[in-house]
Amino acid sequence: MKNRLLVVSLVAILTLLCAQLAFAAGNISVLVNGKALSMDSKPFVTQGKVLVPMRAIFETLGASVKWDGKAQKVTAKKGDVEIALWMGKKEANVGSKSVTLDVAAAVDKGRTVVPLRFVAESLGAEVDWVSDKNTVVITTGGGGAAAAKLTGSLKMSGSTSVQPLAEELTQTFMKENPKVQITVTGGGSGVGISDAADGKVNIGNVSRALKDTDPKGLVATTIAKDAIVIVVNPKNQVGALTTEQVKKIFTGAITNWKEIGGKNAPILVNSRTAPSGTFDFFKEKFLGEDNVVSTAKQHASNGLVRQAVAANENAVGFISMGFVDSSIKAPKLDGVEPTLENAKNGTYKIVRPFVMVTKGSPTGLAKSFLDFVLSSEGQSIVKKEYISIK
Amino acid sequence: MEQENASVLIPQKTSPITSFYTKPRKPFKEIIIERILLLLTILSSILIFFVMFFVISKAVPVLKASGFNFVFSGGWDDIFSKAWQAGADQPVWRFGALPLIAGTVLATSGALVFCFTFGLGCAVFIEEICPAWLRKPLKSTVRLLAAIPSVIYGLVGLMTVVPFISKYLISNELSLRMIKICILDGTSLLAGIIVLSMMIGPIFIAMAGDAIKSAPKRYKEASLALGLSHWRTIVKIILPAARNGIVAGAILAAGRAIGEAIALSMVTGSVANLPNPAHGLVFFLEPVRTLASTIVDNAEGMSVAACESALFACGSVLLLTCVLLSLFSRIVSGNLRQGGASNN
Repeated sequence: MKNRLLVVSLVAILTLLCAQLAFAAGNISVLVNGKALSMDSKPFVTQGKVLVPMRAIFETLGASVKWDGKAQKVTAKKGDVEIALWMGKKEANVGSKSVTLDVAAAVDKGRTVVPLRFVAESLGAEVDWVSDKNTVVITTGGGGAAAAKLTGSLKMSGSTSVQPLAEELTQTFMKENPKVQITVTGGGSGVGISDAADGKVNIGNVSRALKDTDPKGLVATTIAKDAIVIVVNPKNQVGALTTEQVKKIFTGAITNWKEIGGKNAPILVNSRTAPSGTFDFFKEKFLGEDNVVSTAKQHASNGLVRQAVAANENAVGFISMGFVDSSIKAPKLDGVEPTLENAKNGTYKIVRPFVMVTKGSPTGLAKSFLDFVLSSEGQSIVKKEYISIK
Repeated sequence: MEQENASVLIPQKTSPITSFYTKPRKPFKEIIIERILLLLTILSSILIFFVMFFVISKAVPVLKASGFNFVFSGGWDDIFSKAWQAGADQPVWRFGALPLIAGTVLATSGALVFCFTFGLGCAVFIEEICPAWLRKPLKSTVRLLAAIPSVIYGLVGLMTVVPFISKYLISNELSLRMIKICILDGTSLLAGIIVLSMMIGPIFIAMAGDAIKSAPKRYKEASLALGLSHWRTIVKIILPAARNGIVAGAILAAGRAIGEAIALSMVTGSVANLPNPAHGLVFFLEPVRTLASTIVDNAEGMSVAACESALFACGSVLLLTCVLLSLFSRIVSGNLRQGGASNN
């Protein structure tokens, strides 16, 4: 009885699934290193994810496949990377690490289909979706596991704002390429530019666009964008600020909300610890040579500033745009609503590019690293606190 | 083999004296296991020295450059940001950690005073006054409290203690008056003291309770037989007899309090401010930052050698203090044994 129920429900689910799949199927093509992937059944989209027949993708990417019928489990191995997927389960293993998928592997018209992006990326390929052509572009080589053979060392110096991001990127890159050693030092954007031009470092980190006065022959790769928003408590009546007012607040020249249209209450300033790139940018845009008032609370992260501002009616702080949520309020700055859209189209001015500069076009390890930074894996690290460029 | 082992075991059980004299040869397995245990013990004690050596060696550049100024001068936040922004050719090595050390000492000693008064009362109640049926649940509750991770205390403190202080103890006028000196928003020395004493209280209660329990029974019996009331016996006989154990407990609790980082980082205000006693009671409402929470808060700066060394210097001050405290508590509890308080 129980078994029959199981079979019936399984069939029902599969039918539904197939119906949905058939409905969603458009004409999607998959390009691997520029060549069309030949498949014995059509790839299709479900819940925004492209699924492809398992054999086609694994064999093209050079992975060996094993099918365990009893456990309904697919294991693919390439080099020292092993991934495991289960039919109908949203869990998968990459090496010994377990990951959750948006869409599970499934059986479609007698073919086992697997989520393309997950499979390709875990096997070290890069995946791009060209939406107007309905095409998935897969590039092997470059970042990820395929680049595990990379060796050598890189030196980076420059902007302290880019530094935390650069360090996070290099750490992931070095973890994937254990024989690569990258050192990141600070000094400021100017140092990054002159060091890169003098050949002292392979990559200079710069938190502004290159200017005409910069040395010639430098190639800039924009890796991310950063926007900063002034935030206050939602109960605060102040709905708009000017750059000048922000400067006065954070240098301690204005200490009462009354002076800028709020009620008679002290302004509690929340800042960031010195190593913060957000702080560096804030100081550059609003304070110039002046320092933040010494009574300001110093927080170690964007999240802590947000928490502090959310907790106190009289608090003010600044955070990266990605951290703005309903627990706080972002007043207009010089009349502009600080939204991601305005930041992207340039109306909101407190945005700057994060740039990595190289002397001439990047080559060798520097190129591999920049490819990694621009890959979806690198950009997913960027996205955590900054505006991704894709 | 099985048979043989059994036959060796039986005489041991029936006549312990013979087995004591004719030592049976240890099985090979046991020897191996004992050796492994010995090795592990040696390894872990070497590890402690390695950690100390590592921390202090990392701290040397800053400690050497700053000398005693590290302990006696202030301005940590400014120096730290200068050191972070400095180019590689002109690093800043001279740091002043006075506000941090003051913050640590104030928070720890405040918490000790709090937990000594309340905790001692608790320990006396549990061991002497409490009805027998309530003793066990009370004791296990205290033990449970001691096992809660500190970040939980920090979170609870941030969500309850801090808003309470900001709502009921800090008026708008006071905050306005003090705004030029420091920010009063509830995160404060007082919040730190309250959260810390909540954290170290259970440890102290457990230690003091053990000390009270191990005060010789005969003292208590003699005192009661001579006609002293139970209360007077507690104050005049039991507590003095348990004194060393109680002090040792307080020292251990202080050791935990000094090293506490996360919880204090959340509730004490994250600014290297030196509270000014001239402000009267407002002193307790001023923000501070302890050495341990500074290490957490400024950890992002580790990639600059000078900043890293400065944080390790904070760490080595902490480490030395904790070693001294631990030695001190050993001496005190050593006195306890010599004093004849031990009942076996």
